[in-house]
Amino acid sequence: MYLNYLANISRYIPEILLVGLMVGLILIETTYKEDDKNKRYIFIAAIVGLIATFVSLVANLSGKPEAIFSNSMIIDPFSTSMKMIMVLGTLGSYYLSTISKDVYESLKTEFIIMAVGILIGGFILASANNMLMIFIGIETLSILSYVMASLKKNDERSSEAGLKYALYGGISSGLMLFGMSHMFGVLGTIQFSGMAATIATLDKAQMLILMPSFVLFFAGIGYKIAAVPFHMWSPDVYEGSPTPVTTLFAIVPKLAGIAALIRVTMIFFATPGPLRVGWVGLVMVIAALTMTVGNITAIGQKSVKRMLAYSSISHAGIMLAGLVMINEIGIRAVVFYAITYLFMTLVAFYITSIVQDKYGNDHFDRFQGLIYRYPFMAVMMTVVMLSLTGLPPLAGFVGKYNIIVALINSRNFTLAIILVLNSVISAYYYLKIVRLMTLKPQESNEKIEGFGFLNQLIIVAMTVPVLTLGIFWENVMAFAGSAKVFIQ
Amino acid sequence: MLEAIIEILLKTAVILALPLGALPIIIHVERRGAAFIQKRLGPNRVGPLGLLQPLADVAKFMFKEEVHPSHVRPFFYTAAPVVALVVAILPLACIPIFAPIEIFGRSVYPEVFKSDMGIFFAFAASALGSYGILLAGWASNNKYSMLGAIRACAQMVSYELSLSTSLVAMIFLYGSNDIHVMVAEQTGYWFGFLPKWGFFLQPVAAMLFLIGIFAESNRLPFDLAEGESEIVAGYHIEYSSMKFALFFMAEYIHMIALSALFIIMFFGGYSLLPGMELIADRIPASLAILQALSLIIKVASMIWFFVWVRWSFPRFRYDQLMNLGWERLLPIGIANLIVTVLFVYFRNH
Amino acid sequence: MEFASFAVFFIIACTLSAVLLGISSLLGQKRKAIREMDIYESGVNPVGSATRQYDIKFFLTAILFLLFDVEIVFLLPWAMAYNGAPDQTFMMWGFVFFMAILLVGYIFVINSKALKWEE
Repeated sequence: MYLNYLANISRYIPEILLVGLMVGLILIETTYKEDDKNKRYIFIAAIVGLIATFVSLVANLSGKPEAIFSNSMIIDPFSTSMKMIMVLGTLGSYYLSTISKDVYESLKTEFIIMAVGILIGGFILASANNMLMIFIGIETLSILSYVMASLKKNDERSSEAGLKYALYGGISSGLMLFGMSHMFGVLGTIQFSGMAATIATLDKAQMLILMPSFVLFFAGIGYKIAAVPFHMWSPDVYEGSPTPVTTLFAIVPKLAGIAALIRVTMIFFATPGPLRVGWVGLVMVIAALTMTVGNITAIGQKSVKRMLAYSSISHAGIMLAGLVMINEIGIRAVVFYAITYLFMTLVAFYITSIVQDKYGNDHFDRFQGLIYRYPFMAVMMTVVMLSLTGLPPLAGFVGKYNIIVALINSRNFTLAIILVLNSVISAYYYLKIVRLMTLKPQESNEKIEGFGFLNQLIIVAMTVPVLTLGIFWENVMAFAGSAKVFIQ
Repeated sequence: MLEAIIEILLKTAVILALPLGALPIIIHVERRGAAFIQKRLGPNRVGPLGLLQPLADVAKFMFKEEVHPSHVRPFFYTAAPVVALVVAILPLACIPIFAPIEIFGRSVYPEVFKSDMGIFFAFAASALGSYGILLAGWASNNKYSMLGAIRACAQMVSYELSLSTSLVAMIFLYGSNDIHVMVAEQTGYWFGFLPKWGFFLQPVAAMLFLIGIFAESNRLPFDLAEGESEIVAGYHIEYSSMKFALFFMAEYIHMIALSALFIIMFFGGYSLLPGMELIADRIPASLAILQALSLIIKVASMIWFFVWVRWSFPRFRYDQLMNLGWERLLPIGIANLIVTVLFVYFRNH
Repeated sequence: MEFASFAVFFIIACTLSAVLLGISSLLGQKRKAIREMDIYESGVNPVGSATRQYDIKFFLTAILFLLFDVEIVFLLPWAMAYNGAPDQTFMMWGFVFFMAILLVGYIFVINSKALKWEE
């Protein structure tokens, strides 16, 4: 049997690399506990490990899709692309943690160890072919997230964030398990393969039991991607955690949850029937609610991090809207949107974090007159804010346009109209920062240390995709289109 | 139906009566043994050779004043000794005294609780011992009590890990958790004279288990929880007369149960002592009695060993104790397990 | 059937303890003295309340015990299944990887002195 596992080792080399990276980082940290060599070795090891994982994922793109570990995980182009986006997100947030003052010096090594653990959880979730794997992925993600949210040990908001996250997450896991146990009872198996055939043979009573259990199951995953009404933890947690941690939270759990949701939707609801109608209705309502609630509540925020938290809720809602089509066009739109979302979020959080480090708080007024002090950074922030709103010719516009076209093609007009209206509303709070940066006089002339040459270079490098993807998007769109879900 | 009821009552009576009846003897042995080790005479006035002393003790406990302190939490204060005693008696339910025999056409298993769990039930029940102590310390509303209880609990819990690693190694070697199978694997002789006991297969695991059961039953050299002169009497400061006697009994019965487990895993359980097969071969009907006798003799020697160690060693300091458990015994246990697995694997392949 | 005998055993054990306690409270003398109702603190008046904060190391000990005990609980069925297993190489490698990852965690605990009790 073990020869079986060894035969397709090339398929799960990324996971092996990540586990080896985490183990190696722990060992480095314990041997060089109080040294300066500590930081250097861990920095090199982490960057090398993450880049190696990315390279192995790229190599995995070309193989044919396969189910590994006795059918419990599936390696297909879709999961590999989502994993690539997650690795880039972790790299970005790790670099931010090295330059941020929010993460205490003594804890910078623990940040990357736990971040790699969260990434492993995200990988498991993106490849899950099994209800058990989904649960394991969510729990690995969640438990490490609870710890990371309270990383600022002397700050009460950070402890509050961790506690709220833990309580909420515990209950959601319980609900999800409850739903999964009912699903197992009716369907007779936890494996996702061959599920479409089983669902086609259900009778009315079984479908009646199955629908609420699907709702509960969605509650567990919806909590992870902060969909309304499971989003209440999100603003407090995003605001209380250190900013690099928030960056990680805004990318990895969301994309992992959406990947799992896409796989479940494609496998369970491939054939038309009452279950599919129910599920699509559920996702439509939640997507609409998420977008709207996220946007409207973001209007009144005074803290930029909190505003970004609410805006990421609404972006998750937009990606959910791409889910309702249950065909390849929808998946292509979601993957492309995820790629643009990655870069926009990274840049927004980088600039916010650097400004916050200087002034201690992230009030909107801290951004006043940034264009006079650091013109390049203000321009990048403007570009990203305009892209988040969805204005052409930036990447955000292309992403939203794709989703709207896909929605209209499958005749979901209401959702498309809600999406457009929400983009208009979001213009208010995104352009508020732009207005403050460009049109108001500056508060003071002090130098912000975080905006050194290297950091500015990195921020510009991350904004370049946002600019170019708005115009030259065919190649990336083809890449997103090749990310097909493998259904057995 | 009737036979079933008779069987249940008889088994329960015998298995409860044996340890509880042995209790006064153990107490007496401890006090006389302590005295002889310390070069003095023990209690030798009450009855011939002082043998009625435990009876006098019990009478004293019964007639002592029942103090109801006003500051304790009422229900848990009375419940704690009961919990401690019941939890100490529980592991005895799954320990058989002899091999299954046939009486009147029914096969009788001599243990009260025969299940798939086998020996795991005993470990699970003895792990509940921490609850009695913690409840006693907390219900007493006394700083000394609480501190003693928390320290005792932390100690018991840390040494359970090394106990469990030894258990995994032995289960790996025997291949089953059924006590009868374990004992059957330990009958017979190597080279004609060395009994096939687990002690000779896994001396490291046996040592770890031995140290572990001293720590589990809070006996010296690990009895910091009730150490005199440190925190007076630890978690049973506020207890007097019969409640204290219940704690006392619970500790001894826990000792008996853990010794029985040790004997089952490492010294052959109820398998016959060398030399007894001659009698068993002549009179086949006496096999069960001889097996029970073997078990009793082995457990009795183990209890004597407990008493012997108690009065020969000084007490450990708390930090020495915890460091021993976590930094020395646990890695030794894990290393032993890994070496055993690799050795067995490479010997067969 | 076995549970019936265990239930009888359990009930008799509980009754025994209760009876012992009951005898003592029936037969003991009853006296009213005020001094013996106080909390015992080596003869002086008690200082401070009984419930205070305790060292966080106790909590850490309990949590780490939980982790390592769950590891051992996972090893118990493995140990029982090893002898009759069709592919013992697979069992052995699974054991090696499992223990390796847990040993890394153990090394972390020891080196970070989380359980080092100073005296």
